[in-house]
Amino acid sequence: MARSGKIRAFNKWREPILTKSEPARKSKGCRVFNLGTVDFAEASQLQSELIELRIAGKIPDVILFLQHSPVITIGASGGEQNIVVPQSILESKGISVVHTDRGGDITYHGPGQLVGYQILDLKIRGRDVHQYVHNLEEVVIRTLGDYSINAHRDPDYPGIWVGQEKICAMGIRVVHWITKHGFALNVNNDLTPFSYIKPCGITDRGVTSINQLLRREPKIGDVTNSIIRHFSVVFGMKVYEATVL
Amino acid sequence: MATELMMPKLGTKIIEVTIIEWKKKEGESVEKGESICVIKTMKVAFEVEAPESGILAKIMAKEGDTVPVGGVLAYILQPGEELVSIPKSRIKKREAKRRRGSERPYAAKCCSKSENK
Repeated sequence: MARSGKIRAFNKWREPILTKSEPARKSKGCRVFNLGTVDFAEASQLQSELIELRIAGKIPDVILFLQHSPVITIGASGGEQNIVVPQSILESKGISVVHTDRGGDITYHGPGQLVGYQILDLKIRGRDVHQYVHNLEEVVIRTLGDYSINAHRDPDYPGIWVGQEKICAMGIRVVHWITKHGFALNVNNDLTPFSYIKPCGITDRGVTSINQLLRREPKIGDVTNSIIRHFSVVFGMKVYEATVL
Repeated sequence: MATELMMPKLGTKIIEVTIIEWKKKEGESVEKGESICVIKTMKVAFEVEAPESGILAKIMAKEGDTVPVGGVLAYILQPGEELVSIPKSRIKKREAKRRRGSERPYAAKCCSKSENK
């Protein structure tokens, strides 16, 4: 599998910086990396490596922003029974199916959907998993507010909703109180592939995107900046865009 | 001394959590800090760590079960040790205690005298 240029740059920087850096566990700063389009398996591998480094206290908190090549992912509490089309259709569309260790059920990722993965230490944030999810949801809701989209939580269904349609999916894993995975916000991605699955096992509701609601093309970069800004406020920490750890 | 693996407190609003996977079987040895069980709440899968090294002696709640925070998930024994008796109402008692407001500190280790003969 060819590694993307940005990941390669990321790895190139990682080694020399790590050997020099002091343990950064209590650091309040958070590094943000824009990785562009990354294969799901590659991004999972990168997250696992970052988590080990974070557990060892060698790196500060990290947020990765990226987009995935088309993929259906099945979480820890999901199953393939929620795929409603034959395998041949998925193959013809170039969509792979991957089992992953995040929480939640089934979802789709593809180009135009902004994925944010957070590697945050909850030990320095009160060890509260629900509070973390709540804050993450708040970041997405405020970001959508910047686009005059009135999004909300739903007590019965996780994720972020606009009316009866889901705009942002969430799935998280916590390892040694370090978070992995995060959210996937539909910005201007093709929503058709969601019809190949029962997203999160829910059948009576739809999906939407910022593009569909605004009827104009929002820029992924603008949405990313908006998220970073709200992240900094909601989580009360400095967030730096970075090219090195 | 037998160590209880308890359902961890994941947050102030979480009172019970569902087990989705045991990564270890009864009789297998575990290392302190090793994740031995995966639990879920809402959209979060959480890895529960072993509080002590030892042998996973008795699993008290199977995959799919929902256990209150502070409830016993399993017992971890030291080599050579045997689990003699497990109070049947262990989980319920603990829950009652919690309701009365005697909160236990997070991940406190606890050994009942009746188990150490």
